[in-house]
Amino acid sequence: MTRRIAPLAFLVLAIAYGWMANRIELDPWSAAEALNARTLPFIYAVLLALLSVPLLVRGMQVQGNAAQDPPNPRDWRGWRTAGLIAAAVVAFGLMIPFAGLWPSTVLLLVASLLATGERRWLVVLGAPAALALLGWLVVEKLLGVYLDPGLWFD
Amino acid sequence: MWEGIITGLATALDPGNLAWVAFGCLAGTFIGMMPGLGPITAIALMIPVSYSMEPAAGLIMMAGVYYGAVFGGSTSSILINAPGVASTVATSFDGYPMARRGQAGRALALAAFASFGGGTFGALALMLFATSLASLAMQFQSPEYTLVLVFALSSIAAFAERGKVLASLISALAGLMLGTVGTDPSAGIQRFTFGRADLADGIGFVLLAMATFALAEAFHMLVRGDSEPVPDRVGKRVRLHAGDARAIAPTVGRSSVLGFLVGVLPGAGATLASFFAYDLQKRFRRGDEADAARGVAAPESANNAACTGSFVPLLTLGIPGSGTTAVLLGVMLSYGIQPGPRLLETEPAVFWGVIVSMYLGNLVLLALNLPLIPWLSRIIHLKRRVLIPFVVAFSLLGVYLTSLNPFDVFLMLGFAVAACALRLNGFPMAPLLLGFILSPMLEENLRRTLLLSDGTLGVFVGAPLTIALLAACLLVWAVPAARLLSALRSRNASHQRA
Repeated sequence: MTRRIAPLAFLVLAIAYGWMANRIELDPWSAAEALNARTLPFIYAVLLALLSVPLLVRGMQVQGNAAQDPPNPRDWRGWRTAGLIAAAVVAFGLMIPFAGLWPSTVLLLVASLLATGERRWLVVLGAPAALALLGWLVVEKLLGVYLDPGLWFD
Repeated sequence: MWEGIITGLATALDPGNLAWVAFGCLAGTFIGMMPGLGPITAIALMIPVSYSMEPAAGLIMMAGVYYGAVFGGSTSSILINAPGVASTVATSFDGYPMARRGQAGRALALAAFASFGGGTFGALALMLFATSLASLAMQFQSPEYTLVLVFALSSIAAFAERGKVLASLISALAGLMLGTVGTDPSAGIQRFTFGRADLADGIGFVLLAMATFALAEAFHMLVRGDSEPVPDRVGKRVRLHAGDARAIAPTVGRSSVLGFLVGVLPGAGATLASFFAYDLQKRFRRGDEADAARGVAAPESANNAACTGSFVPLLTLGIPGSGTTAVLLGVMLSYGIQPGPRLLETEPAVFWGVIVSMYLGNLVLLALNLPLIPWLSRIIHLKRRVLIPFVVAFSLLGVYLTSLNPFDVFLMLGFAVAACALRLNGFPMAPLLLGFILSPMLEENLRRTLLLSDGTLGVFVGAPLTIALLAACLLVWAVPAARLLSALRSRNASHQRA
């Protein structure tokens, strides 16, 4: 089944993208041009749709033939870990405006290390703190880049 | 010319200038290794340092920073599959798998020597042919550029893995589409931004590269349950084995010539050169163990030769051929130096000093980086449970430090998840990135061409150069067409037998 999902997703993407390309607002001058802001996106959408169809057909032909499906992930623990890291990335993005970059980086690393199964506390706590300290020194002190300290530390 | 070279040697071999080359190479390497910080950033960061220096010394240091940053980018590409700059994406295709197989030191050494080869060829070619190549480059106008870009996109189909032509083309189209997000450069119209100001400037290259390569690779390793990388047995001294040297020598030669010529064209640059060289190398694959070594050497020699080639329009015409040379032009202007046809007469010490120091920069880069390789390659020794969180953190830091916008973190995560899903379904990511890089260039040049030709496509067959480029594009499509025909024939034959 997985062989059909990706081509189907691309077909849907092509239709949505083509529809959006047609809705790009043009001023009268642009509309009169041989190639305006809509032209290439629309061509890309048509090409993507045309290329997705044979892939979808091929995916349907191999339906039921498990040997031809892409290899299935062996271990659901891997998915769980990937999910936890993705959640840590979301938390990192949400925390930056409040805690600033470096504390958020420490939390991201600690959460990711714990998610991957690292249990040595020196690594879990020491390495993120060292990276954040080094980053702060290089980026803010050496290169002089100003970073917002975040609402909590402002 | 020889008088000029001697003048340049005298300038570049001044102990103070030599020290600045070494400093520039080292600083450039370290800045280039940081995800998201490429040669442009490295040079921009060094501008305050250069203000207090003599013009020749300042420009010599900048040349070192440029080379160092390009090589630094290759290091992160090879070790953690995180190409911080577009010109090192192709290096990761064979370099990263080599590192995972326990050959990180070998891959880095190959990259260093291939870069040296490319840089050496580039410096020599710059000395000998700079002025004549500049006039050739001037013949490349919008129609020629459009066709060069079409050729680059066509080569995706020609050089795709067997059975993956459609998937590669779909990936490239997705990249072309992503390249249209943002403000339309001609009319200023917002496209596919969903009303978000964060997308008005489009999707950043660093963001997409880090998402589809570094972050997606981390997720891919987790969900596939990949085994730990093989430990590297690199010693304290890194040398290029005679076998490797013999294997990569023709590749380095070919890719250097190609890279230099592509680099001379304003706007084409090291990225296109590295992709072209890698694609060309695939044609020469022999199916032996040295193929991966050649796959690392090709883009590395091409991107270094292209970096040197991009100095041709800068020094001889005063036209910056790339973002990096545009920043360098700014540095030159701040010194009161006007690059152009008269630079050779007005500032011979600067002109030849920069050219000779490029070669010295390559030499210094090799001398400085080889001892670092055994230490750098230890990164790959880290256990996966430690390496993956750091790859995730480095890639996110690289993206955030480029834009300082938390929205990019979420966008990157979305792209990484999509890229991981596509990779699990057999879609290659390199064509996506190539399509993304070429998309704005293609649209800009095609639009300019049609504007100048009143919308007629006849302009593409109006000159010998465009006809030759068009023929090359058609020739490239002949490869997948022949493959398709042979596949259909063999299928028919098997049907008849059945």
